[in-house]
Amino acid sequence: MKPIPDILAVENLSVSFRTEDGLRHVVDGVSMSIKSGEAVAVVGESGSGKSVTMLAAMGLLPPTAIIKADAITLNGEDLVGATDTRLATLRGTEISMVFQNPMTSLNPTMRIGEQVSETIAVHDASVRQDTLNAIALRLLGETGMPNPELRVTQFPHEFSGGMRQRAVIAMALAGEPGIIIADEPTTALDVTVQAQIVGVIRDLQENHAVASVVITHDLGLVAELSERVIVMYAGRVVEETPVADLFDAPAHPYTRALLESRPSSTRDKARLASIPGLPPSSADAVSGCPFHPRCEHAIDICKTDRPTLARFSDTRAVACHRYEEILKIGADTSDAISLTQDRKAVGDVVLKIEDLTKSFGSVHAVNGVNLELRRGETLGLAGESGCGKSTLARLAMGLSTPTTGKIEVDGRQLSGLKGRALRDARRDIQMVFQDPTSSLDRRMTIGAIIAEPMQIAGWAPKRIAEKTAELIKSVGLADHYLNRRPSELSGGQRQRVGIARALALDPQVVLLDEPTSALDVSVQAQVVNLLDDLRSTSDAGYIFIAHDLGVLRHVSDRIAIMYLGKLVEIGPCEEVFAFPRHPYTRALLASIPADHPKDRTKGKFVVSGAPPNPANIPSGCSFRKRCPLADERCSAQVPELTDVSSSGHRVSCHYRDDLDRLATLATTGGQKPRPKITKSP
Amino acid sequence: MLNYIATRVIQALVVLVLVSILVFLIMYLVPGDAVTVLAGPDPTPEVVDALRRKLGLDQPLPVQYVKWALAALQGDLGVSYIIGRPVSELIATRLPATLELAFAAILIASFFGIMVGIVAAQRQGTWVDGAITAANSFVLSIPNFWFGILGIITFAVWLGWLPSGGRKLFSEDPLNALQYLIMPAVALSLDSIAMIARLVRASVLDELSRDYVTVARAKGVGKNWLMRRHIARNAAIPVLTVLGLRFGQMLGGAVLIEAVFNWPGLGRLTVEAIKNRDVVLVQGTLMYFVVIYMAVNLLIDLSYGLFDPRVRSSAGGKV
Repeated sequence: MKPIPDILAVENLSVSFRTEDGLRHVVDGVSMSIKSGEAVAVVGESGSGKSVTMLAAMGLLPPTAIIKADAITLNGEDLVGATDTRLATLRGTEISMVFQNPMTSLNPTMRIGEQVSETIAVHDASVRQDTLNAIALRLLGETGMPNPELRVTQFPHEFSGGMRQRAVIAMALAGEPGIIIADEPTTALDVTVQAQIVGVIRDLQENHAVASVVITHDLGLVAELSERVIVMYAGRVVEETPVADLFDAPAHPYTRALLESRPSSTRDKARLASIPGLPPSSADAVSGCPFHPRCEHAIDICKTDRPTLARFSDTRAVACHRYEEILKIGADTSDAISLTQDRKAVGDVVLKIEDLTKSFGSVHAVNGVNLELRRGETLGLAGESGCGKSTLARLAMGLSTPTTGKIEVDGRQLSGLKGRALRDARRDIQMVFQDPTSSLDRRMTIGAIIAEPMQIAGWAPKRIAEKTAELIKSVGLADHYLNRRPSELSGGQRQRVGIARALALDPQVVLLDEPTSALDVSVQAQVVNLLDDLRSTSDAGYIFIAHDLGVLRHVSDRIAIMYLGKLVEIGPCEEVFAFPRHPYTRALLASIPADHPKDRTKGKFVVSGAPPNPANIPSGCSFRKRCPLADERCSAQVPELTDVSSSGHRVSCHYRDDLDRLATLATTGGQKPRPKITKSP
Repeated sequence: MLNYIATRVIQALVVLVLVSILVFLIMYLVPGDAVTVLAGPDPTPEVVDALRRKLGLDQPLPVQYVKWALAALQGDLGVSYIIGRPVSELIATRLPATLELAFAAILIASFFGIMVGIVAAQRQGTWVDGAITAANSFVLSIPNFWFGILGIITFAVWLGWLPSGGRKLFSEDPLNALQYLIMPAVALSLDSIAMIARLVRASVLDELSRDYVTVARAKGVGKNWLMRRHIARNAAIPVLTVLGLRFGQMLGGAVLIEAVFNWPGLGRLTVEAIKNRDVVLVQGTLMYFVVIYMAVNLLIDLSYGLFDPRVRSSAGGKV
């Protein structure tokens, strides 16, 4: 058998950007190659240079980029110095790309069908319009677009995020390229839609003779979609390995730390191993190994000598002076401390929500929700976008008036309060926001931001100063940060400030609205650990809203699942995760990307479609249109939230006790890794 | 889309009523009404009373307004006291000249404005872009009529290629009429060219930085195709708004340019009416400006739907 040729190879690529502060090196001497038909993942945190490397290969970097490379070869043709016209000819036909945000990657004024077939039209003017239409129709059908005949004539704003991403994938496929690059293709999507898109990408890997490069920070996606993994850090390749070895025996300390820092939906709860510090801002900012300041295994040589990427087996390479020792440690995490032991027992009810409804016209964003939160307890709240979780948070904060229903904070009724009384009551309930950048005033110093709630509350300056110092310390930042401004802090540090501000007035209830979703994995672990620490020292109740069920499982005592404004399942975290009784909860859990390639979601229950238009909810059970178990009863009768155990586990499904039926909706896969693709062109 | 049109038309009608009340009230805000003008110096109280009764000025204001508005709806804007002819007739005689100038100027402004703006955007950061930006600021900082005078000195007095002022009819001698039209039209369009060029540049650059452009380039789309098929439509939307505002202003008559080129349009009619305290004529021309301006802007608003499908469906109710 002939060796499989490389379809894309990059040799000694360096990219820097001209910025106001001088040159910033983003990619530093990267070499990598992708074989025909191969499924590769490029992993790293933001700023690692993974996207820039691929954009450079496509010639899509902005003019401010300075690109140096010994060679960039696509199908044997060297692209270094190629004209823009030549690159344009290759793009779409030889190499194509799927981008992160489907909400912005389509032209809002052009019909979907035209955008899909444009990939062909732009390269070959002789193709007739009806042929183009037929191709667009076929490709949209192949990506699992429902009702493609209608969809080709529509505009992007008539599509949900998942459908838009299908259209973007259809566009990338249209020119029948030999290689498709997918840059964070599921990051902007809801977890159930993410699972659908993973299925679409896997289909194209298997059914088209195409190599794929998935760029991601999400190790779950790596496990789902790759055979071989390239790990990047600070503009360099630090490890290259078959996917199973990455999870079983990481060779680079950074890879190992990444694996340990992600919360898992299946492993035992344990304190997350966070990576201290931050990645360097520029690839040449650190001498020696760029990871050594954050590496617990670093020795003297790491500070002075830069390790090169060295092959240590047929399939593996690593850039680490101490990889042999790292390999021996393996990916074992059994020495981790269990969290549940030092959790406090829960106390009295601190937040009580009764029959809460919030309507906007005919849309019921929150529809009859009952909820109790106790002191010292963390309630995880999950659901797809638009399910009403953020509206619920706004109502609980008193930022929005409920249409009907009651909210009680610490025994005090919130609804009906006005003016001063409302402001006083709000002090007891504080919020940490999703985007730490936009939720801090960039003109104020960190000290002023943290002190502001206390000033409004009328505290004495001396007391404010003491409390501010105490708060900044409790969120793990040094005193001198008090004089800085948000722009001088990293995302994770800003979120710490947001947390400190929320805790300033010792609130009874803390609402955390996706507090870690804007952060990198290693930083997310730092923030999650910080929250763990803070909760063990305070007796407030916490509501943690997130779409990442791994994080939720990690932080929550109880978990509540929302769908179209209603709670469909609520109960003790372990019980809900171990034995979900609502088909929707099962769908959410089944959608979580695997922890390990051997657990790929293939064969699991992946729910189809997206939530219906909230103005037009189906009769009976609102989930029935997407539910494989639904029958006449579900369309006739609205299921009530009913106890299924003595532990407070409640479910609103007619078939909550029909265990045989529920068992058909598998939440774990357990398939063997699929065989390597051996197609050659 | 029908809903959208209906909403916009109703909004326009409400504004029209409010503005017409303001225009009507002008008569009572300026010192000295028609009577003081018509009755001549030192009139007796009897003469004044008789005149007031004759003009209907003795009736309560709301009654006067309703009468005036109903008549205006039927095209009767009253009779000018000074000239002694119906206002609508006076406007009608001047309208063709104003329309001709406005259409010519807006055509020149859109063509050159869009072209120059696209060139500047495509050459962002180069000397071409710099030169265009400087030229734009220069043109915007100097009033149009100054360029008009400069044009007359250069092309009429010095080179003798074009007439220095006046208007000829296209129906009689098209070439000759064009010679008369060209200088006032260019002079009137200059600041609009600069403003539209600026806006087109910003709008195109804004679109070029969007994700869908990168996606299109990843499909293999080249520069020209990108500009034609992707950018043009999206970048047109903000430009349309300004084009509409400018065109509305031009249709109201270009006072200074008409004066410089002795162009017999509505601008000069209005100036004369104000000078003569011909309140009825001022009211009439003002009402005409308001209606024209609003009609043009309504058309522009409706045309967004042609360019942007999101306007069509969001305005048409549920998606």
